[in-house]
Amino acid sequence: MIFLGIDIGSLSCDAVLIDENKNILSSSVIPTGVKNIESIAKVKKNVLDAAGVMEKDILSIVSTGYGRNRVKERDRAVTEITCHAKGIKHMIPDTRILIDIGGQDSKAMLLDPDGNVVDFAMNDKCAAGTGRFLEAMARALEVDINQLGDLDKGATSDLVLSSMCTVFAESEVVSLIASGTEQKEIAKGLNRAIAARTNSLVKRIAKNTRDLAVSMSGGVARNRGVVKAIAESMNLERVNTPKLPDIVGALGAAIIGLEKRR
Amino acid sequence: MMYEHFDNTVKGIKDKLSQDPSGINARKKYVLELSRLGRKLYTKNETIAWCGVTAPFDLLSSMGVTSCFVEFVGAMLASTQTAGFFFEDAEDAGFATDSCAYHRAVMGAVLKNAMPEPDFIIGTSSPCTAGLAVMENFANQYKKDFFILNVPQNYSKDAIRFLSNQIEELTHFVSAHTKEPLSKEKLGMALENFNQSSKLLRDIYDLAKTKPSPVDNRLLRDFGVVMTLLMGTREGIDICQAFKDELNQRIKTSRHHASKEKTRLMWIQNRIQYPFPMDKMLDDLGAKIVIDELNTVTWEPMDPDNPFESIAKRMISIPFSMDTSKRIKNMQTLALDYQIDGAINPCHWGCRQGTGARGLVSKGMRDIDIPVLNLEIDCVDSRNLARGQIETRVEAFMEMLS
Amino acid sequence: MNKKIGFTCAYTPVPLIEAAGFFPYRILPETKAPDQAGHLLHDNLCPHVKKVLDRALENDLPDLEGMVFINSCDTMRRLADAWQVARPDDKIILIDLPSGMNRLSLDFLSKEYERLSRTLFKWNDQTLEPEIISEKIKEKIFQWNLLADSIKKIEEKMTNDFFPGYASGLQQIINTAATESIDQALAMAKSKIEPENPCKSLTAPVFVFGNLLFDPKVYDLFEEWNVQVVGTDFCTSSRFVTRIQTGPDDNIFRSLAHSYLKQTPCARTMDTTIPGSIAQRIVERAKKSNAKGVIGFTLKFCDPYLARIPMIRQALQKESIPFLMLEGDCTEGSMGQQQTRIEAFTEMLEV
Repeated sequence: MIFLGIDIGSLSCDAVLIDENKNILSSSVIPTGVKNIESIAKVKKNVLDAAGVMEKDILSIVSTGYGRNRVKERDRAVTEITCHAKGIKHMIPDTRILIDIGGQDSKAMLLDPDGNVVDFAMNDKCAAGTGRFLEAMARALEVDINQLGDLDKGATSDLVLSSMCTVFAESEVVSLIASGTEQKEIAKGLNRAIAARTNSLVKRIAKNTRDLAVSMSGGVARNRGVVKAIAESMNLERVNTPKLPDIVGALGAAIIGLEKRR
Repeated sequence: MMYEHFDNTVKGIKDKLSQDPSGINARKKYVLELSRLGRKLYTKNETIAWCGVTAPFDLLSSMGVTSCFVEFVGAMLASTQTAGFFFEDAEDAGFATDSCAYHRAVMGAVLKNAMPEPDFIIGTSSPCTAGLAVMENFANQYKKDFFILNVPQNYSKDAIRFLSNQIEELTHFVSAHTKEPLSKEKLGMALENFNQSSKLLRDIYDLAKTKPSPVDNRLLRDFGVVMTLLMGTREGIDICQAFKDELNQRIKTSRHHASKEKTRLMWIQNRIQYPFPMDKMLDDLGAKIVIDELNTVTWEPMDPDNPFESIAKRMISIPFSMDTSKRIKNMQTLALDYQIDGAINPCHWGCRQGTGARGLVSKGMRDIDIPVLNLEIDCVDSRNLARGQIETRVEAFMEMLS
Repeated sequence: MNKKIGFTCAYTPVPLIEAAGFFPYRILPETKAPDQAGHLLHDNLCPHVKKVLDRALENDLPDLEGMVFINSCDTMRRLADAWQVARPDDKIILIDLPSGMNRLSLDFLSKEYERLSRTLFKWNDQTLEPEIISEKIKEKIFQWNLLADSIKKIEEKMTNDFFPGYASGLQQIINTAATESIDQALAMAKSKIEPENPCKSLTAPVFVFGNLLFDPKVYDLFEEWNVQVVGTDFCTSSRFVTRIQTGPDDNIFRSLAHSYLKQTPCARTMDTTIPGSIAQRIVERAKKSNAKGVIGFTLKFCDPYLARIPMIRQALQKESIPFLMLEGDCTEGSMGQQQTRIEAFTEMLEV
């Protein structure tokens, strides 16, 4: 028995195949691109090929992400909030607060001990602190997005970027470069700014986070600098990240398919 | 923290005063009294009332109540650069960043227990809806008795009677808390002080009209609004007298020539509260703010025999709180009286009452050929300040005027 | 005939407009007129007022004999100011509205409503004896009370069972009363009260409150997203149709003032004896309507609501009632952006 979860985000399209014991058989992450119908077909083919199974073997397809209603063959569509909670519960069971920073929005979720969402908060319409924001900052710093995570190593100043609007922040970064501020200090300032914003999102759902395990999902969870800054800003020893943070939503979707089947 | 701030200011100025009694200028005297008020607000065993901007502070002080409008604290937090700390608390509690930062700063201070606990709260429906809402939040947070003065917008007999009756009820409300009845004699004295202060204020503003004006960009900033806290007291009269003397002295000694006056400006609404070198920038550009919109006396003398009605009329007749056509009319009169060349309107983010009329104000001033520079700025929250942009716009405006 | 008087606030006593021989016409913020109100006022004002002003600037309005404004908040005041510039030939009146209920406020508002009535009759060139005016007003109040009663019945029906399309249907009735005619609205209401078989309830019964939510399509969207609306509290929902309590010997203006000030007030109206009572009221209404969750929907830059949301959130939290806060701008697009939040909220309530 095989279950498929597909997460169609604004930047990436992710799929996960699981068996009836919630073991991950295969997963795939590809850019969403302009034509998401094509991306959906492609990511589905990727996971089927990788697991060596046929489409007819799939018992249920659950879609999630902002393009969830674009998956025609879905059995059900569930929001990414419920799916991320479900996925992280499987990957990091003791999670009580989940921060998901995706391509175009960021969310904080408060989970009960069983992994059910009890409250959540989403950022405003703007892209501040999200994947798209980081892409713009990487561009301004003239580094690859994947290099951004370690760029702050060795930074010592307490610089914090004051602008969080993508447009203003980009010009702030440019003027910092112009004034001779080191790249690592700017990167650190950037991470601190994102952390402050994330922290205020978390505070909207939980006033006291001291005894709650915090995890992070979504592509930005791969950025070590941001994760560390969030931990520092929340006074935590660590913020947990799963090995494959991009597929948390798709995994959650697949698990929901399995559980509903039962 | 705030107590120390006020206490240090009081001590600092008093030290200077003891060394050289004549070396203290009017502005210092004014700061000294405000700091004393601030210190009193943060002192135990005082009867404290947090109020809306247009509350009758003369009446309250005559009844032994130490009172202040909360926006004053918002401005203090901004000027001491501590507001940022409180914004975060307020925002985390759900107070929107779209709201007025004067109010957001004080709400943060309430949530952080950094505000003195009041004995009661007096909200006023003017000048703004948000100001009254913040008073309800105070009452809810502190679980203290709450009184509202509804200030109608239409200046009519019914409206004046309504407000006058409310003011009379307010005195019963206050008495119930202070356990002291209203003393007609003390109230009469406070109103007498108020009248004297008002008369001196008129003189001060008349002197400011002189060309070149003896004021500088700092001297009378936010003077009119804040002075209402002190005008019912002896100290209020002394301060006004000191300002009047200083202006006369400046005219006599031509000291005002030190500050250039290529362009004469009007500042609309309140000034920017956090450290921002606007005054210096204007100095450098040879521009002088000769009049602030709120530095004007629009009320008749208080009648001690008819105190509640006098106060009611005063409260209703503040042009800033009236409909925009009356507010504009007042600004046009000021513009002509002070012979200004242009006006700056800092469009305080989150202010529906004042900033909400931006377009109408610009149009009203254009009608008398006065250009207005609208600065999109938050006067209290400096976190999103686009400094370079503001500087460029001010410079360009001055180039245009000259 | 069919002379219309425009109005914008739920505190406008519409029976007075009708008694003076006019049709009340609520200017809803629904328009394709270009966005230009910000030039005359400021962009940081609530979209309700901006869109109403856009309609005035673009003349996207029926013929109006005059406008009634209520001084309910700063933004409404500014609208009245801007109206005089946008349409200088219109007759306008601004009624002062006290912020709470007490003896003095009641006296004053009675006088204000009386002034409104006098002005309206004058606008219609009528001079009548006070007794006749009072009778005319009573007649109109009777009709509006019929509508208020019908709406209450429909709401009770919605609280107990699920009738698909009822929430949007109810909104259509209220919009009809606000912009077309009370007779038409009464006829529409009648058909909704008649027996009908309910459907299986949706999994997420929700109480919805805020300032303005007048587009019936939005209520259909709610259902599509699994939200069963079991109660509402908006300036454009039942709050607009205020039941006026009158006794045979009561002064009619006093009855109006009393009913408008007392009944389900907007966030701007306060009870000084219970500061923050709006929060408790919403908790009570949510419980009474058997809601599993509460959705707050307010327009951006609405000071009265912005200031009360934290206390409402706190009160709901205390009662363990899940709360979702949404902000909109009167455009269809802004609702679409809320889909994920609303669906996630209902998924949360389902567990």
